[in-house]
Amino acid sequence: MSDNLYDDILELETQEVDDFEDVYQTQPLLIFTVGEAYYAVESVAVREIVRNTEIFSVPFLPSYVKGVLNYYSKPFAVVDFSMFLGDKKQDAKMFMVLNDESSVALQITDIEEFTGERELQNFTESANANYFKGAVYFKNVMAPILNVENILTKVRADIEKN
Amino acid sequence: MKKIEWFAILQFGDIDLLISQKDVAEGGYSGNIQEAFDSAGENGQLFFLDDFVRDRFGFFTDEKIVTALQIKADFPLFLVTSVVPKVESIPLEEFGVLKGAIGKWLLSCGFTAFRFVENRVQYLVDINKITIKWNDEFENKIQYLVDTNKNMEKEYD
Repeated sequence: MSDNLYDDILELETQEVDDFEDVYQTQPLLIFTVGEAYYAVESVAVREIVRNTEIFSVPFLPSYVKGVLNYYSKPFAVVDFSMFLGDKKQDAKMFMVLNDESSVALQITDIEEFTGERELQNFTESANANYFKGAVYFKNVMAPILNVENILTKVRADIEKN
Repeated sequence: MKKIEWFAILQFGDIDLLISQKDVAEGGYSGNIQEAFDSAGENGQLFFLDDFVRDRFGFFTDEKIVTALQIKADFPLFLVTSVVPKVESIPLEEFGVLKGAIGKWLLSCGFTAFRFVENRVQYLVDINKITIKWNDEFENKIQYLVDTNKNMEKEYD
């Protein structure tokens, strides 16, 4: 009898995991570019995309934190995502305002599209893999999915090192 | 709760640095510069705001210092600058604070709040904190140069 229960419980747990994966894979993603590279972010992590707003520089910050922008009269720190990953500085004036308490906007190059169901891929080979939680294919290219929490943890660590 | 504050506003290009009236002990123009030098004495400090702004914001100013403000601090501290401040009262609700880890860090460095006015930004600053942070960075730079020099000497030996 207990063996049956065990099997039932195991099956339920497996089903829960499958359900979770289904939900995760159907979570709408926003595909965007930074330079020539494609990236994805869960749409719930994004509050708004703003364009053509000016960045005002602020001292005492890591170089990839370029300053603040005016978001409905509130300051939001601008993180150049290209520089954050160790690549070159961006000039694009498009910003992804994050939907959390960090008051951070990521500087990006352009928005591609919102996308629904896509098969999740592993993304562990890059040196920056810690800042991503898997990847999806977009236009036959791998688009890593941002791990916003880990990105903000790194920003916090860099600031504390100052 | 305070809703309005008076500020000394120092304008550099398209940014303004705002110092709360309660942080200023005394201020003067032209004639008082020598007094500021004398009052700072050996234990005090003159904070050359124009140098800080040039280094950190890239704005170059007239080199002739015309303003000295005595800042309330734990040590005799005088801000000197080529800019003549305006004095203005501003409702505090017009400022925004940066939240999160970056905001907390900037607060500790002396950048307290921000106000956006058309295409300009105004930084509400704490000169005492900025001076301490600026001194730390300056000492670190000097130490780096000393260490680099020592290493080069070792290499030549």
